[in-house]
Amino acid sequence: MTCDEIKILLMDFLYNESEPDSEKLVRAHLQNCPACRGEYEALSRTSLTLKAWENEDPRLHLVFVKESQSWLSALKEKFLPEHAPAWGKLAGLAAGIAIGVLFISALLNTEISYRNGNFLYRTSLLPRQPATVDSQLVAQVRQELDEKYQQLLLASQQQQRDELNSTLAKFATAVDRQRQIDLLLVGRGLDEFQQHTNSRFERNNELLNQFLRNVKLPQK
Amino acid sequence: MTDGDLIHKFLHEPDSREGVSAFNTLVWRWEKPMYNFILRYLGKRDEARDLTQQVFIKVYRNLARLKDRERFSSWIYQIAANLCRDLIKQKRRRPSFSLENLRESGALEEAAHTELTLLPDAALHPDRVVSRNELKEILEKALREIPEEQRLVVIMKEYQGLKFTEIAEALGLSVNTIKSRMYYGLSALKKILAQWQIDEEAMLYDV
Repeated sequence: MTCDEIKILLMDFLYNESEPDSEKLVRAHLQNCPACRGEYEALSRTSLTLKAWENEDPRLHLVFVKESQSWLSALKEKFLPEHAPAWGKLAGLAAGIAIGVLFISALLNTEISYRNGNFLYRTSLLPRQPATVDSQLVAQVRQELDEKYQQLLLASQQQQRDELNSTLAKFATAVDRQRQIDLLLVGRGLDEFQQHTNSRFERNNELLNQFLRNVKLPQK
Repeated sequence: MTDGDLIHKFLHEPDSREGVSAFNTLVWRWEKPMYNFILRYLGKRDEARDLTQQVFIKVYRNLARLKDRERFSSWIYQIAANLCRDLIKQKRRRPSFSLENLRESGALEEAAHTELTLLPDAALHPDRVVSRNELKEILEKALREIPEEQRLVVIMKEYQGLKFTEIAEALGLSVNTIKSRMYYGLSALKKILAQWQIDEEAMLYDV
C-alpha cells in the first residue's frame, strides 16, 4: 500500500471509523513509514487544536407554538390538506363542490309558508314536482263554479227586474196622484173664475139698472 | 427518547399539546448544534441565529416527508448546509456592506484586536500565551482560509461529530469524496496553524 493510498484510510483511522481489516493495514503502514506516522501525528494534533473552539450558547430558545387556526383555514386543511397527494386534493375538491351543489340545491328548493298561524318549512334536494291535477276534479269544480255563477246571475237578474217593477209602480202612483192634484186645482180655479165672473155680471147689471133709472127721469 | 420517537410523536398528532411539545424537545436538542454549525460555517452570529430559525421552520414543514426517521441527523444537516450555501450564493450576487461585514473582513478588528494582525510575527514570541478567546478567533480565521467545500466537511466532522457516512448523505456526495476533502482540509489547517505557531501546546498555556 502506497502512502497516497493510505490517506483516505488514515481519515477513518483518525476518527475511529476504520473497518478492522483496514485498521490493521493502516497500523502496519504507520509502523513502517515514518513520514506517514509524522503526518498522522500532526493531523491528530491539528484535530485536537481545532477542538479548542468550543460551542457557543445560541441564546435562541426557539419555541414552536401551535397557532390557533382560523375556522376557514381549518376547513381548508381538513378538506384540502397541504401535504395531500394530488388525487386526494382532487377528491377533496370534488367532495367540497358536491356538498356545495347539494347545499345550494337544498337552498333553492326551500319552501317557507305560513298557514293557520304556523310557519311551515320544507326543503328537498331536487325540485319538488308540481302536484298532479285530477282533470275530473277540475271539471267537477269548474261545473260547480259554473252553476254557482248561473245562480248568481239569475238571482241578480231577478233582483233587477223586481226593482224595475217596483220603481215603475211607484212612478205610476206618483203620476196618478199628481194628476188628481192637478185636476182638483183646475176644478177649484174654474169655480173661482165662475164666481168672479158672476159677481162682475151682477155688478154690471146693478150699474146698468142704476143708469136706466136715471135716464127715465128726464122724460117726465 | 430518541429523535425518532419524538418525530413519531409529533407526526402522530401534530396538533396536540404532546405533539407540539415533542417537536419543541427536538428543537431544544438541536438548537445548539445547528447554531454552532452555521456559525462556524458562515462566521456571523446574526446570520447564524436567523438561519437556525429557518432550519427549524423547514424541519417543521417537511418532517412528514422524511422517510427514514433514524437519519434525521443527516437530514437536518442537509437542510442547514443548503440554507448556508443559498445565503453564500445570494451574498455573492448582491454583496452588502454591513457593519458586521466590515468586522468580519477585519477592518474593525484591525483597530480593536491588534494581536490578530500581528499573527505572522508570532514567531518572534515563541512562548506567547494564547487565551481561549484569542484561540477561538485564530481558529475561526484559519478555517476561513481553506476552501469552502473542505471547511464544510471539517466543521461537520470536527465540531458536529458526524460520521463520514452521515456527512456524505447530508451533502449528497460519496464517502470517499468526503474523506478526501477532510484530508485536504485538515492538512491545510495543519499548515496554516503551524505557520501561525498555533498547536495544542498553545492551549496548555490557556488562561
